[in-house]
Amino acid sequence: MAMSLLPDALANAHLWPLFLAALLPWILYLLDRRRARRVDWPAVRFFLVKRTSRVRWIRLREFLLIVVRTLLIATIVYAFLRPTVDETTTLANASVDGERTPRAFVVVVDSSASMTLEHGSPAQSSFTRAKIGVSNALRDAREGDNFVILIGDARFVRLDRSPGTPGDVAELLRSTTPGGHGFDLANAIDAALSIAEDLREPIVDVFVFTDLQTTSKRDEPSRWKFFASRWSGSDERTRLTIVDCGTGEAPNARVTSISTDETLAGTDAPTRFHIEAEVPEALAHQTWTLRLLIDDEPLFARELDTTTSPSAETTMEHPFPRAGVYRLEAQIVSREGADGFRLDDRRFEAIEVHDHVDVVIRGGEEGALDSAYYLELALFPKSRDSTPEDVLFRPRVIEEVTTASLRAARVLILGVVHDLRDAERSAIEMFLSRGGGLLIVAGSDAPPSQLGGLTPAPILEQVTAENAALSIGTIDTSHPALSPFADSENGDLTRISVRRFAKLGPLRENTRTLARISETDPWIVEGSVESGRIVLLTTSATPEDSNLPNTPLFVPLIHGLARYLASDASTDEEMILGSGLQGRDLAIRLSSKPEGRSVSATSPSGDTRTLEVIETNGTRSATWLNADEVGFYHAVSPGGTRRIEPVNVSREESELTRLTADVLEQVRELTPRTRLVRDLDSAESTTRKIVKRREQWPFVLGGALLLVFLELALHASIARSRVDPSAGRER
Amino acid sequence: MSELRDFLDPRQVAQLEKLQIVARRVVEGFLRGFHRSPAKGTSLEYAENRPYVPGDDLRRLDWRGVAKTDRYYVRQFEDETNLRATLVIDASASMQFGSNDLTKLRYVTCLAAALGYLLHEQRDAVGLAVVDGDIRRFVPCKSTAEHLAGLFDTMDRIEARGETRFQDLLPRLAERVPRKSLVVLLSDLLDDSETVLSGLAQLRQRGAEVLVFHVMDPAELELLFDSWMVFRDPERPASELRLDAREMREIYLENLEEHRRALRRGCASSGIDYLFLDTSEPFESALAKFLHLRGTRR
Repeated sequence: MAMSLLPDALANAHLWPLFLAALLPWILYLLDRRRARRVDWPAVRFFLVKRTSRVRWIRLREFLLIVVRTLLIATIVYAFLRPTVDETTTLANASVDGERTPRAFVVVVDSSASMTLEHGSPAQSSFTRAKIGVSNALRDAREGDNFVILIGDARFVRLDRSPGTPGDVAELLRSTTPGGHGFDLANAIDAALSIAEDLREPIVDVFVFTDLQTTSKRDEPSRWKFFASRWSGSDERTRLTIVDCGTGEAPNARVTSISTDETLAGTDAPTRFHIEAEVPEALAHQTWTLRLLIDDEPLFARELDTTTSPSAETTMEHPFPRAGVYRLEAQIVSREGADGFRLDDRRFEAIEVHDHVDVVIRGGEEGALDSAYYLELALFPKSRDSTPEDVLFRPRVIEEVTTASLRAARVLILGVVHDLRDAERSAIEMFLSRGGGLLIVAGSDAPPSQLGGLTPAPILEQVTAENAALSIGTIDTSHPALSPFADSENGDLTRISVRRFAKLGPLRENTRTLARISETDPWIVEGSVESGRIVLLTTSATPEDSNLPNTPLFVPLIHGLARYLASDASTDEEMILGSGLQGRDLAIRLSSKPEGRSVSATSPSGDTRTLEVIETNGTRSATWLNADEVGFYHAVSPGGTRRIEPVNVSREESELTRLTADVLEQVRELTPRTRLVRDLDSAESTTRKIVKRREQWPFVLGGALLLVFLELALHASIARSRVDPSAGRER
Repeated sequence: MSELRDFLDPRQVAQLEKLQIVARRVVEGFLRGFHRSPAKGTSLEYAENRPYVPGDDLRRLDWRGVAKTDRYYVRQFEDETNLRATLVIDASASMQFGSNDLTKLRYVTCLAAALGYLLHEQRDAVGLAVVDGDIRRFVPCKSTAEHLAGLFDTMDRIEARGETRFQDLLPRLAERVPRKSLVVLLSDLLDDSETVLSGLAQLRQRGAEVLVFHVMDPAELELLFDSWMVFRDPERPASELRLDAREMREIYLENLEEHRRALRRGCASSGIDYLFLDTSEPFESALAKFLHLRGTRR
């Protein structure tokens, strides 16, 4: 047990001005001197001659008396301030009934991607520093103590294997790779507290090792207050130490995204890619180059101009010669060397290139000039100039829709919708549930009752323009299917004249009108059923309803809609080209072909696992839990079908925004028994000790009493030395 | 010495304007208090007989006359002016100090006047020296009544000023006073005791009989202040001493006592008569001590 002589706190600190009272003896002394009467005294010499040592002693005694009185007042005032000292007991010495107190260590390690940020010299990642910190923190741990390790970022996972010794803890951390994104300190504390509450040890030390890199939304004060209130309610045996393993803001150059204009990449035309990067001002003086690799082959490299803006982008085109899944990798590299955070210097994407898209068109009798005829013509031009290699769509007209006919199809077009049977309807619903696209060309023969819930809105009746044809009004060119028409050089849809169309009832939820007839009635409406997309065209594809098939706009419109419907609607938002996913569960979507109950999956570093295939609503997928590696994950089904899924660092994580000093101060204020440690060596010192606050005023008053005795003794001594004037004169 | 209670208060006596009156009153009062006739003393030549009165010295009884006439007569003697006494009055600035309306200077002046009167009555020649750091005024010894009146007049006009420097003063005084005469020094002796004794020893070496009246004020003997004071030496006005009188009283009194002790012992060893007086002491008491010493000396 160690006790400090100086107080750690003053309960009545506002009484500090009372210390001025300690000056009273000096003031009185000086006033006394100042009030001295002046008198003529011939016998002055008797004050001076000899006795100099006596005079010195008298003056010293007088000075001591004043000092004692000053100390006495100061001591009493000090007692009023109610000083307290923190009595600390080191864990090593803490004991219960003579035996060492068992302890529990709850260690939370931030495993978000930013922990790979390297800094210092020699370069050392924050995660490495965290491991060193953990080692220091457990220096006093002994066998028999309880260890709980939590790894995570926004979510925290308690490691299954319970370590029995500090060595086991180190071993567990050695096999852990940082990944994930968006470390949440409040969640970390909360998770640790939840565990600490269940522990029985009389001393529970919670350590959180983090680089304090987080996203701005984590700074919300209300969240902190909530967690702080929980922490305040925890019992006294729990101590929290937040160990800062990172550095300040680190300049970080990164690839922010890869994107493409194409809704569906095909072999029919070159695919255009946009690559965006950010280079902070601190690194702008270096020479940065953006590179694109396809299947590990460097194909493009372009030097960036980062002098004017931190953001830079470049566009690259590549014609894919054949169908398949291609691995794309965008890199930003500097001649002068990489920054500390390398994971976001590369972004990965897998792109599926199609040499054709199977489109099934439900038509009427063969040779009839119905919508199916015109649609097939649009998708597969039978002109002399067309070559099969360039044709992306492979349309097939059928009279009856079956599950088998839709197996290979990505898009189904209902050119003719009358006489739709229930079996056909069921096949269409199943097709949609596995992500197929449906284009309903509702013309004059569209009976409302047979389409039912498949349409984005109920079809009410056929409407014929009475006097003149109606024109197309509003067009949503932001939609991928209609985006080519944003440029009027590619065609003007408002030139379309409509004579007859299907009037729709109120739109169902999650539907979107892409174009309107005369600003009022919907012309093109988009909806969805499960993971399948549906687009409804309220006119038929025949010249009877509109002049659309007779215009050059017909082919690009139908192609755009078909490409859009052929693209994958079930992709998670994070899996959009150029986005990132790390540290979360990766769902690998598999082909719809039933090829066994499991797939073999391999991580970027070569870790191979067998994943169970889960089928939900006709969609088959396998999940890689906690995908914490950046790169490509490969899944191979027993039938040999390969699937590639990219994993990138999330944009939020690579922004490297540290918790502000204000937030940290708030954390410290709101959570008692909490300390923030920056020095790894002192990670253990804050938690090895049990601090008990003790009132010191009784001891101080005891000291004051001693001073009273001392004052009385000095005063008596001085009084004795003063000759009593009433004793009479000497003769 | 219970009779001293009947003596006049020196403050009241000193307030009388004429020093001659003061002297006479003091001497006559003194003699009356002792119930003694105005004896002529042994220094006188025989002049005549007179009837014996109680209190007369039996040694001077005319035994032959008693045998012849069966009456008691005592012999009276004519003047004999072989005693020359110089009264040395310290008139330095320090003598101006006095509590209770009586300065040390006034006290020693009255005492000197009384001594002069007494000596004159005994037909002795009396001289006067007024000194401070130097001999300010020196009047040689004479025994005439006019001379005595002149001395009183001189004494009346003494003012306290200057600084005491016995080291310079006493050797010069030794040169001026007659050999084998009586020198009566009346001073507060606020100088280094060794210096004072050294000077007095020089007087003795010239054959002078020296009698020292060491006079101090009662306040100087007690230092009854109970607070911080600024003490200023009147002989050195520029120097001031600020101190807590309560704290310094012990040292002050010890130093004072040591000073007195040194003077007393030094005088005794040099054959100098030393008398300490404070200004509250009746003159008659001082005269009695003086005469007692004179008698002892013979």
